[in-house]
Amino acid sequence: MSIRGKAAIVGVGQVPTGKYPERTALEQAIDVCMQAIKESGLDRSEIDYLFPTSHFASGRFNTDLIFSGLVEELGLAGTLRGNMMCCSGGASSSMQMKTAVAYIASGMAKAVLCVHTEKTGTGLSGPDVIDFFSTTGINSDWETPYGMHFSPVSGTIMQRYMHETGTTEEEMAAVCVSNRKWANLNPDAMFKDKELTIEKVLSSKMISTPMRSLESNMLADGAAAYLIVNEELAAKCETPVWILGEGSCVTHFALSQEPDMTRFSYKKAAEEAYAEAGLRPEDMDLWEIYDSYPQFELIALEELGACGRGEAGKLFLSGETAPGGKYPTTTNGGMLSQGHTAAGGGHAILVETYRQLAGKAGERQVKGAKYAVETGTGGTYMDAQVCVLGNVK
Amino acid sequence: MSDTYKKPLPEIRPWTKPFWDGTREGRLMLQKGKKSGKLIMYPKKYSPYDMDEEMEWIEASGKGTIYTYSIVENNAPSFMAEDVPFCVAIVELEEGVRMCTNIVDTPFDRISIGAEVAPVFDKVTEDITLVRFKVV
Repeated sequence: MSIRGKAAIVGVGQVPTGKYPERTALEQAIDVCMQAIKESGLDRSEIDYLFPTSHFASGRFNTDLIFSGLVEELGLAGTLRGNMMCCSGGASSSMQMKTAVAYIASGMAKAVLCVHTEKTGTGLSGPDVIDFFSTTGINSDWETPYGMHFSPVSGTIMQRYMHETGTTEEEMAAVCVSNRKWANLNPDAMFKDKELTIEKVLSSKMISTPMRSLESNMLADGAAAYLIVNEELAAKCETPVWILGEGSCVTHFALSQEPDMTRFSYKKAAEEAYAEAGLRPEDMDLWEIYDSYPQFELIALEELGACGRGEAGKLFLSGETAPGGKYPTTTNGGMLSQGHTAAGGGHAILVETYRQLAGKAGERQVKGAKYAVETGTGGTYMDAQVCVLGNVK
Repeated sequence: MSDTYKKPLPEIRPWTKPFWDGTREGRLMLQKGKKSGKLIMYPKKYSPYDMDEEMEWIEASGKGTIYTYSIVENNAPSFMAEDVPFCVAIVELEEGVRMCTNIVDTPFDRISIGAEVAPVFDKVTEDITLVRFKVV
């Protein structure tokens, strides 16, 4: 069975990403869900299922989300058929969407609301955040004892990728600059008001060689939601964005066991997604890549077919991925510039994909965009989740 | 060796015990599938290659090369703070499997992808001897 065109995103919600100590996780969640429902124009009683994803800053609030903690606040009690936490780290957004589409395509659901809310910007202290994320997604027997944590995860991958492809540090830094140019046009981005240059990136503090601090993301508070519905409900909505194809592959838990950390499995996942969509890389107008560190945008662009192996760095350096370029990439600014909200980087990129394809991306709107390829990945890049979306079926 | 070793330690599980027994004796042991003939690192309860195959243990030569590495200079987690700067690496053993480790007893400017390494058995507690490597 193909999921092509069986379900559409019809509304999204997002609060600005950054440090907002006064904004609680609950309030953020309520606000983004209500935005998504209102944008769709549908009655909330149509929603069958609510899929919250994991929340890291508070164990208590995470448990609330598991036990229908949003249902009363959203006025869904009595009409909702199921509340299920759906999480896979940074791939959560992709997995929520794919699970929602499967529920809809099978006829089990007609409308599914997916939500993420996080307080990793102000809900935990700085050292606590470093310690928490230092063990999250890392193998406790075979990697943590050697001090492997998120920075050398990125450092080791970047080192190997540069070694194999000849990508230069200027090209790596150019990814961060491209992302920042998009973030400068995004009112929801954490770094919307700060400009960035290659020189600034390359003079920033070394964190874990060859990765510098401005090549590392910044943890933030944020929340996002999206409403996915069946064809019948989508027909009543103004700007449905259709899910046209998906591909997936999980390759490892321990990073040392990843067969190829300069490619991961994006190619396999992308080929599945393009085939289901009946489209080719040349048809894509947007490259909405889950980043977290710059090398992942390079790897994904190459493996998704935007350019050849080792050519992505030159594409970023040429400006073709930035606003006005031929390969608009990670157009919300990504986790590097829009902000990193734990599992929420994927939600932000999916909200952006919807906004671009619905023609609602404001100053950063890519004119005439019809099709987008979107990615998510969790842990130490344990999986490749690829999706092709379009504003036409 | 120290009784006050405070860093995270691996848990010894029934199917990983032969590995840790080996490192205590200065031997790097690898699991091998008896039917598939394939080496398995890190050790598993069941073979990832054949659910029904039995596994045996063989001693690795200890020779390997650096597949990739990173030197942590800042923002390390608190349990590694006193070690900064330190080198985390993934080493590819001569036998073809890879493992996460540290490069120690080596000036940082001698660490590079492809550099040949040899094991350094580091007895951190009575039970656990971690396998780190040095460039040879």
